[in-house]
Amino acid sequence: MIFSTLEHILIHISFSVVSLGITIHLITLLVDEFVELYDSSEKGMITSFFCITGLLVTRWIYSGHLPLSNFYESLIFLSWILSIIHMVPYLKKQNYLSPITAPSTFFTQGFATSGLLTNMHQSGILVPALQSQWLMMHVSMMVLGYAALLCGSLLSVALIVITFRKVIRIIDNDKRANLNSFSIGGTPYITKKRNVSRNYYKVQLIQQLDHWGFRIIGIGFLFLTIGILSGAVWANEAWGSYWNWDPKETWAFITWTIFAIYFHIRVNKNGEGLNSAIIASIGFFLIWICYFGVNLLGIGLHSYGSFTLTSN
Amino acid sequence: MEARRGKSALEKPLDLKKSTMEMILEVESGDGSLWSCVFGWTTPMDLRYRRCSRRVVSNLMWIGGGPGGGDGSRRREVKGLEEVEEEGWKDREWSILAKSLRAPLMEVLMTPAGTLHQSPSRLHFLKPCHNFVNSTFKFKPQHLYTSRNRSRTQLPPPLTLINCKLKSSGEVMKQNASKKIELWNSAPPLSEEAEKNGGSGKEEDPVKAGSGSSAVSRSVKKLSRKVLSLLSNLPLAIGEMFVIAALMALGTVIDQGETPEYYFQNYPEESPSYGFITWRWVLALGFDHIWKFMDSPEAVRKQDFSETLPQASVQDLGVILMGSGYEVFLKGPRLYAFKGLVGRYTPIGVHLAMLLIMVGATLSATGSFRGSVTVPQGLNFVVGDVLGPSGFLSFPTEAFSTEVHVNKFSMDYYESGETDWSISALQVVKDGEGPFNLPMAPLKVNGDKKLYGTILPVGSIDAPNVKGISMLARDLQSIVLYDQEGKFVGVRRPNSKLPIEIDGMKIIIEDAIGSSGLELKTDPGVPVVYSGFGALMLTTCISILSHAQIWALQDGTSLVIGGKSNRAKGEFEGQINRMLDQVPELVESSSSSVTKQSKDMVAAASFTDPSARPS
Repeated sequence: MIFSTLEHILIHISFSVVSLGITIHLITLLVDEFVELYDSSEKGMITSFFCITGLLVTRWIYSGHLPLSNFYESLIFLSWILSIIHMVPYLKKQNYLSPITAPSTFFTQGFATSGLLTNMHQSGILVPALQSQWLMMHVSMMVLGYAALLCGSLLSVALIVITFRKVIRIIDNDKRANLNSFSIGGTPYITKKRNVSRNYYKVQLIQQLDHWGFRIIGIGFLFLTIGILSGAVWANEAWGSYWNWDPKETWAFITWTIFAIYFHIRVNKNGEGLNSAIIASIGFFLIWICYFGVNLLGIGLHSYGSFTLTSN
Repeated sequence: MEARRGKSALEKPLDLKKSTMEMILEVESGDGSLWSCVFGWTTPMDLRYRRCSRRVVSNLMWIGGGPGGGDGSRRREVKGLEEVEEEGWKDREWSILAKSLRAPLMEVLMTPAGTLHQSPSRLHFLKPCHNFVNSTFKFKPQHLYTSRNRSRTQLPPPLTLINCKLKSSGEVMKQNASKKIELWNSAPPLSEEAEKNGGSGKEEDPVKAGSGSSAVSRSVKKLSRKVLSLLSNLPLAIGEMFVIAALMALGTVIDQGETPEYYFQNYPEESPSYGFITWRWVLALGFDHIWKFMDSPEAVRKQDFSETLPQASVQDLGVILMGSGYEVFLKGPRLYAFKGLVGRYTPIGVHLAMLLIMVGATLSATGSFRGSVTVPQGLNFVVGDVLGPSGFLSFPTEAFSTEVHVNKFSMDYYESGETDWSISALQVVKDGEGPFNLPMAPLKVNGDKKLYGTILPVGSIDAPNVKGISMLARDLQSIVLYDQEGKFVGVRRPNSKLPIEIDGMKIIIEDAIGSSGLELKTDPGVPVVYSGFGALMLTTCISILSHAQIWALQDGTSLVIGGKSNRAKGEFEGQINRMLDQVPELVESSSSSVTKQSKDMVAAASFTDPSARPS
């Protein structure tokens, strides 16, 4: 009993802290800046990280198995990974990922604790097919892969939005025409026609987003590969063959294929930037279909993860 | 003459969508220096051109002046265009330029060499220019504008310039090229070879077949190259991967509501066999990139990242690179260095691992045995009888003659868990006779639960309406009995051995015998597939490492450096810049004759000089 209260407390602390951090960020962005709270989001995410760690450890001790057995627990694990990803780039003093991981953590935790999934909050006994050492490796690798790929695909969506922002602002173009040619050292720099971007910083940002997206999708792809393959080995042991065309397996493979397409598009210089970003944003939807949508169908060999959304 | 031939080729309308046209224009200007400029335009899919044009645009010298001749005193240098967004040229822009170039080019061809600079036609000569402009080159400006009068501050219409080779007058003597037009109808080969060809000034005109026997071999080579380029088409591979993904998605949507056996029996043979071809083609692409020394400065400068260091020597660069962990190869004035070779070849390893997996899957599909059997407790079965082959490669093995004896069938229950089971027989003792084993059959019920039933017939079996005592069992714990009219009589537990009276008979339920259902499978492809899995995991891990290559060429007293990296592009530039900062600037011009000690002294002296390398 004490464990479940502890879990409650921890998850609520973490959720409120993350939502506070995001609120502060939004206020900073839209209204005004509080100088004292400049690193609030960083501290908030660290707090959330520790809370979730506590939550996972509690569940582990209480139920005797790694807390990854149903959708609720894997969502909590996902938000934990996202908070880790949020904190890692601070070592390099580059925070391109923070506007993506912080809201993602927020939404993931929000969905997990919402009323739609309350029938899964209890930690229960594992079904016999899941009682295996493979559980830890396969599911954790898959969720790691999903988290990193989600970040990368959201970065690509950001890239697309920034690239096409000029379309929204086309009315302001006349006002900015004076800024077209800037000069350094007396030599006038010639700029191109209207319909290409002229902003140096914007191009730099797009390049950086592209680069970071590439790296993190690379890591996510690696984890996804390991997850799929370890799942196949486990399936051979538990279900008889290493690849049954189970919906969840198949959609994981489709996600894998889409991100393989992403890498192959980047082989050419021409493919970098916008084209690969479009592919990666398709990947965002595929990941959610694979992770969440298939469970709603409730068929196939992964069906003990299935559930129905009930509102309490 | 050649001029006439070139002119007639130009007179045809330039069809952009269908071909890749490149034109090298070599024009002799008034003072005898030879200008050769390459104009080209392509369809949007020709990526090489696009890349080249970006590099040129980024270091751009626009020569301008008044019409009718000038002295080159007014020269504008436009730099910094590499910050501009790197979009490809659109078709419209190409066609605009083509149209604007056509007339002046024709004029240029038709005027004799000496009066070029007086021609009223308008052209822009653009050449890539670093600080590399040495005094050996003189150029006379061909300041010509386009027909539209544009102000000086605006860029002329989009450029199709690919490269512009500037040859000094010394070189002109070697190649007697006064004015020639070269027309190529196909995309040039890999950039290094193109530069080599262009650098030596070969005159090729594959449009009109050359003379002699070399034509045949050339056409054969062209054909094979065309076939290879058709096969190793990356967009085609990407398109195929999309098709695979779409087919798989379709498969999940359609195959629903099937029994679980459907999933057990499907092997991934259909879809990956499309993948066979795809991975081979991508492999073919990978083998194209074998490194070699780059022979000309233009080739080196065409890399993703390039710099020129005046007053530097290639040996110093080699030493510094070795210190940073590169493998350096030095040959004369040329240098090639790489780091992280494993990162270059692991994509090949990834695809090989996938091929291995598919081979294993094929082996599984064709060479395995499957079967399922339900064996009641206490009975045996022979393994070989149960398995059926699934493909033409299935060979029974020694193990097939083993006999399996089912000793005990029991179920462990959690509070809620269940596993799959069936009841095979009910052992009854009737009126002291027996025990009889009444086989039980599963009954169809709606829902998840199972129901097994059997009947003990009363009376003669051959009578038309056989009546008997029915016994139903939901699980192994309790049996429900009904009499001949179907009325419920009672419930008995098998282990209690309590008799029950039905229709004058005394029935004792001895036992409900469970039988276990087993699925058997032998699969020869599994080791292959597992090794493929392991290789795939390993090579995917390793392919995240980055691989960097650097070429350098000693050009006179300055050093041209180019490099590329396949992973960490952002950090690569920073790394290279830091390393290049350490290359010492040589104070004397004869770098090769400086002895080692004095070189080190010079290096030490200028090491801390922050202006050693102009940025």
